[in-house]
Amino acid sequence: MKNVLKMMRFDYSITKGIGGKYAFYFAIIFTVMCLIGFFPAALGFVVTPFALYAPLETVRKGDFMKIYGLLPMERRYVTKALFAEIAYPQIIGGIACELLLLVTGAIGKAHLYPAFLQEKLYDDNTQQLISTLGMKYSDLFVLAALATALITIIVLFFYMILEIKGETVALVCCMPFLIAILAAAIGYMLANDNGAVPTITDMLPASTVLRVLLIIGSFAAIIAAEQLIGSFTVKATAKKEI
Amino acid sequence: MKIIIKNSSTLPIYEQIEEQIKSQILAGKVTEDEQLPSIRQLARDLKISVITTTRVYNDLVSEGFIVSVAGKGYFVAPRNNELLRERMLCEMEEAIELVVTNGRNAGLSDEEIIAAVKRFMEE
Amino acid sequence: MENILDIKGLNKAYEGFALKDVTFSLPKGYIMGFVGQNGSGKTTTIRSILNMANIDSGKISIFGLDSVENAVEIKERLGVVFDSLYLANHLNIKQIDKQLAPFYKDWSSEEFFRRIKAFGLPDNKKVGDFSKGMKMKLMVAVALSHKAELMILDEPTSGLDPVARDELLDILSEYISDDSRSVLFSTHITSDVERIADYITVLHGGKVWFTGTKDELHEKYLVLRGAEEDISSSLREKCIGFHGYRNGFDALISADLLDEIPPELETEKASIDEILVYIAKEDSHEKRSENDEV
Repeated sequence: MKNVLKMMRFDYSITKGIGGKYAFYFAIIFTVMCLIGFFPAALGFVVTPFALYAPLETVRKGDFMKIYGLLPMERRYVTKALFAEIAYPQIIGGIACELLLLVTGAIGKAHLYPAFLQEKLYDDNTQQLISTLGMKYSDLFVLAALATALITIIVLFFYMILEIKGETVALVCCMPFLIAILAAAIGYMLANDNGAVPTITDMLPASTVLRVLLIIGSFAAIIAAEQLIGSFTVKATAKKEI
Repeated sequence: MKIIIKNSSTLPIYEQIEEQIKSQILAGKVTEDEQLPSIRQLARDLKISVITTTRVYNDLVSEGFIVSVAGKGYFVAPRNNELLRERMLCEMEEAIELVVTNGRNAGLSDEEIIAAVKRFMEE
Repeated sequence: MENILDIKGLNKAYEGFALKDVTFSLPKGYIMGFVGQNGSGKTTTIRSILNMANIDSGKISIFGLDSVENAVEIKERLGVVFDSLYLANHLNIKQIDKQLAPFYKDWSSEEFFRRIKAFGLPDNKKVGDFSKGMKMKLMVAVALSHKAELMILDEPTSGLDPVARDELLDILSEYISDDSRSVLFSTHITSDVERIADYITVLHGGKVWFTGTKDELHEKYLVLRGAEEDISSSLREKCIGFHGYRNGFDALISADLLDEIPPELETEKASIDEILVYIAKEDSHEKRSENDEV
C-alpha cells in the first residue's frame, strides 16, 4: 500500500545514515568471496539485511517518537511498515543468497574461470567444510532458505514484543530462543563429528521437487508471518499513546 | 506618527497608545489623512496582542480621532471632523479654566489675565 | 468569530493525575497563552489535542474536525513545536526536507529553505548538533513550511536565552498577522505571554482556572495589600493565597469584591506570574488545613 511504502521510505531515510550503507558493502564483500571460491559466504546474505533495519531501534525512542504523532499518517501504517521493512529485505537477501549459490555452482561446473580459480571454487578447504557436516552442495540452498525464514520470523517476533511491551521484555523473551538455536547448532556439530546424528543431507528430503517446495515454502512463511504478526501488532498497539 | 510603549509606565498598554496618538493629533503634529498601520501590523510592530490594538483603534474611532475606511484601513480624521473639533474645544476650555484659576491664584485681576492672553496671541 | 480550536469537557486520568472537564476555545486570528505550573496538565492537554494521548471523555474539534476521527487531515494543517527535537539527530537540513516533504500535500521545500536561511541555520550540519535555540527554530521552520493554519507550541522557550525567546515571539507575531491563523502557546515563562497573547487559559491541578481575554483576566483579579488589622476576617476568607508577614500582607482577590475592600488597603493589577503563585499558595494553604484537621 502507498502509505506503507511512504513510511518504509521514511524509516530507511533514517537508517541510511547510520549503517544502512553497510548492507551494500557486506553484499559486495560476500559476493566477491563467493566468486573467489568461498561460496558458503553467500549465506552471509541471510543476515546482511539486518543493517537496513536494526539501526532504527537506536533512533526510535524518546523524543523522536513524537514525530509519529505529528505526521499526517495513521498510526497503523507506521507499524505495518516496520514489519514490512524487516520481512522484505530479508526475503530479498535470501533470494540473493540462492542466486549467488546458483551462479557460483554454475561457474564452477562451466569451466568459465581460469584453471587456478577453478580449483579454488571447489578447493579442499571449502570441500572439507561442507563434508565435515556431511552436506552436499545442493543442501546449502535449502539450508539458506530455512535459515532465512527462521531468523526473520524470530526477528519479527522480537519486534512484535518490542512494540507491545518494550525493549527489555523483548530481549528477555528472545534471548532464550537465540541461545537455544546456538546451543542446538553447536551441539549438532559436535554430535556430528562422532557420527551420532544423521547428516544434514540425510535429514533433508531427497527429491529435488520437495526441496524446491521447501525453499519456496520458507519464503512464503516469511510473508505469512509478516502479515499475521503485523496485523496482530497493529491491533494490540491501536490504543498505545505516544 | 510616533507610537512607543514604555514598560515602566503604570498605565495599561492600550491607554499609553491611545494617549500618544490623541496628543499627537491634537497637537497638530500629524497630517490629516495620514494612514495608520493596520491593527495586526501595529500589534506585530509593538509585539503586543491584537485585541489590545483593536481596542485602541475602536476607542479612537468612537472618540473621533481616526476614521476607518472600508477596504483601506485607518486614517487620521480630517480636521473638520465634528467629534474631533468638539474634543479640541473641550481641551481648550479646560486650558482656559486653568489659565483663569492660575491667574487669580497669582493675584491677577480679570483684565490683567485677558491682557496676558492677548500678549501671547500677538507674539 | 469562528473557533479554530474547541475543547469541551476533556477528561483524562493517569495514575496520580487527571485532567478534569477542561473546556476552552481559541478563535481564528488570535494567540492564546496556555499557562500553569509544571504538572498542571498543559502537556497532557496538548497531547490530547494531537491525539497522542487517549481521551477518557469530551470532544476536541480543530478546524471544525474531530481530533480523533480526522486526525490525519488535521495534522496536514497543523504546525507543532515541542520543547525537544522530534527528528533523527544524524540528519541534516537537506535530508529532513526530503524526508518530510512526501507527507504534506502543501509542503514547500522552497519555503522551508527560505526559512532555514532566514533563521541562520546551517545546511549540512547534523541537526543533533544544533543548539537548543537552533533546534527550536528548526521546528518552527518545519511548522511554517506546509501552510499550517494553527501552530501549537509546547514550552518552546524553556532553556532558551532572552534573545532566542524574543526572536520566537517575533516569528509568532508575524505568523498571526494573517488573521486566518492562530497560535496556542503553552509555557510557564509567563512574561513571554504577558505582552503578546490575546487570550489566556490558566490551568491548575488539571482544571481550567480561567479562560478568556488577557484583559478580562487582568480586570478580574487584583493584588490586595495592606496591614493585617485592616482586613476583615470574612474578606480574608475570600482571598486567594493569603500571605501574611510581620508588617503586612498580600493576596489575590476577585475584582467583584472591590466594594468590600476598605480604603486602607491597596489594590494593584496582578501579573500572570503573581496569579499563578497565589493560586499555588492557596493550594498549599488548603493542604495544610487538611493536615491540621487530621
